[in-house]
Amino acid sequence: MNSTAQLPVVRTDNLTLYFPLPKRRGQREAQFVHAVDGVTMSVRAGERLGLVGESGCGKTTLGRLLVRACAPTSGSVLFQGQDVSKLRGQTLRQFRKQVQLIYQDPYDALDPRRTVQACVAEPLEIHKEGTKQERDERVRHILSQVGLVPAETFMQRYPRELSGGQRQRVAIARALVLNPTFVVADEPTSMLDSSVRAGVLRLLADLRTQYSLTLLYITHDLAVARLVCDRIAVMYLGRIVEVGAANQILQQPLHPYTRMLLEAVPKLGRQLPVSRLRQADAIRQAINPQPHCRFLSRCPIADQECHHAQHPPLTAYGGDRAVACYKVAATIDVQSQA
Amino acid sequence: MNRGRITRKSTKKLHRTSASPMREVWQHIRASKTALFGIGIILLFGFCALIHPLLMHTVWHPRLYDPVTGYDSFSSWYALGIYDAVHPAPPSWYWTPQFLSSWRTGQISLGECLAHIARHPLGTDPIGRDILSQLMYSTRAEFILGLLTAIITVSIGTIVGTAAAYYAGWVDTFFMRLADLLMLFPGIPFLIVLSAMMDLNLVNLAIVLGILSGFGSITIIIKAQALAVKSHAYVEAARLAGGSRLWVVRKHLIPHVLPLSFLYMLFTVTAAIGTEATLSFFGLLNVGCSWGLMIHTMSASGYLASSIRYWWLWLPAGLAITLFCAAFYLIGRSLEQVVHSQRQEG
Repeated sequence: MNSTAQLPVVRTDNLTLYFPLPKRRGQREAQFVHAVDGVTMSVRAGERLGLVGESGCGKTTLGRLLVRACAPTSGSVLFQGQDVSKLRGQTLRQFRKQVQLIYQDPYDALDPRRTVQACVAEPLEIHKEGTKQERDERVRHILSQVGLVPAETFMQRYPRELSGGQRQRVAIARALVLNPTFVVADEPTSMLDSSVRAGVLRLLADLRTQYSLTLLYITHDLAVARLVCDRIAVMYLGRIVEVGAANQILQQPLHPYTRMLLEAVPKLGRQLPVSRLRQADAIRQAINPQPHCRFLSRCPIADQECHHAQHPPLTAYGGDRAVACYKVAATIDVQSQA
Repeated sequence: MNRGRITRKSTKKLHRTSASPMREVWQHIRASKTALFGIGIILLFGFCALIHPLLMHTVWHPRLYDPVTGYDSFSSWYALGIYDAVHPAPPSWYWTPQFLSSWRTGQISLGECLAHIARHPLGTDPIGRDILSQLMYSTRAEFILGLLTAIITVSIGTIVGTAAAYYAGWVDTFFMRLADLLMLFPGIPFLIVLSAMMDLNLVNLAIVLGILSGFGSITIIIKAQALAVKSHAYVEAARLAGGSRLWVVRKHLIPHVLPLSFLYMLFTVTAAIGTEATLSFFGLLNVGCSWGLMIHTMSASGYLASSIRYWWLWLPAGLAITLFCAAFYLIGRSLEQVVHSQRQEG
């Protein structure tokens, strides 16, 4: 990779979003769900970054913050050096044109009253791109690009007449029709049949090379992340606990949580792992969490030190790698001995 | 280029079964007997409204059949030189110049209340005006009033309701409190007072009724629907694609609440006709002729006590009001099923 490809397209600086919970009677302090809690990360130009974590860890919220679907409590998102939350009027429109979100649920992301053509052409109409004929031509082109061929047979149909995979393709076409530079894909395959999933994944990979996209791919599925992504960031309860090249993370996970995630991926001919994740913990702790390490209650390698210290900072471990764990040194030792 | 156009056309034909919303509504109406019945009645009334001016110009002499100024009496028939079983040749004194001049200056009383005869299929009212002609003439006024009120109501309700749902904040609070206020507002007493203060004709009444009901309950109903639509991802997607708030309201919220708006438009017609009938029964409206006014004429002329015997004075008008309202109501009820099934679908 050359140096220009390494420049961050999007950078977040201590990004935080708390959702207030309704105050109950007799409760002294307001409670907050710490959906995203001090995330500092960057997405480099042209890369595919996977954001992995279990349900409720804040990965979708982080993705939504990046495209300015919601405003952060504190911290900032920098898109090509500009603070996203300060954009207004014309600059905001330019930002909207360059940044797109692909939704998780293709059944909800398309207006049921609009034809496929109208759905895909909407961003073009909003930005007043070209004449009616030119817009039609672009819609037809992008529809065939996403594999809906012949495009003419799909243009006049309504979303409900399409299958899940076809709808997701329409949603992808809609996101790409403005030639964006940065796309956040929020688990675009999680609602699809596994038979269709591979096709959509392949499509995303093809389109990325064709349109020189920068892609943030949000998923809970490490297998998918490995297939799609160059780099992976693992998220746990609003914090990023490990970042690194996809291969490295999968072959040599440093954070105990990443290890647990990898163990949880079912494999043929292997017994289910003993230390399975307990879902209830994840959700309970995101409300007014303790200052110590978020992963403490489930961590197999925690000791006294972890109980007294603050949540560990994300520290670099050689090259691309960064991990938020006090015990990483020990982990590395164990792995090198083994 | 040319080839492209041909393929597009042919694919359109290919997917003609692909359900456009309007086609689906039409299919539902065709399947529903109540809706067809309602449409049939409305068409019948529409036909009456259309042929009345034609009849007035061709068959019906305005001297006898004009719904407001025409009347049937000896004098009017003699003036036209027509004699029949009900009106035989006049006595000789009729032709004396003194009598004729007094007739011309309008000093002679008007016509009489006739029951069914050949030239008045529904009889005449207490001053000799043809009931059928009045009935048909009033239809046009009822159409104008009902539809104008409904359009004003629904336009206001749709715009204010969707805006309140999407903009939330003080816009929402203001319009919702206003709706609460107007729902508690006693409409008919207010209109009675208003009729004393200003000249209430049909258009005025439609505007007042439209505003009263437009900012009232319909706003709340439309807002609730718009809130449900707002929660869908495609609304946010439009915003993230760069669409302004106005764009989202115009292109996504309003198209989705329109079926519901249309439904309430039909119910509003019913309410407006009812109110008009009440007000003109009290004789408070400045209308030439209306169904309510016909019943008013009967009660004001002292026929109320013998209403069974003089049934043609009130039954046709009453039946017309009921049928006209029922027609819109039945279509509304039938459409309600379509709208609600679409709502559940997404």
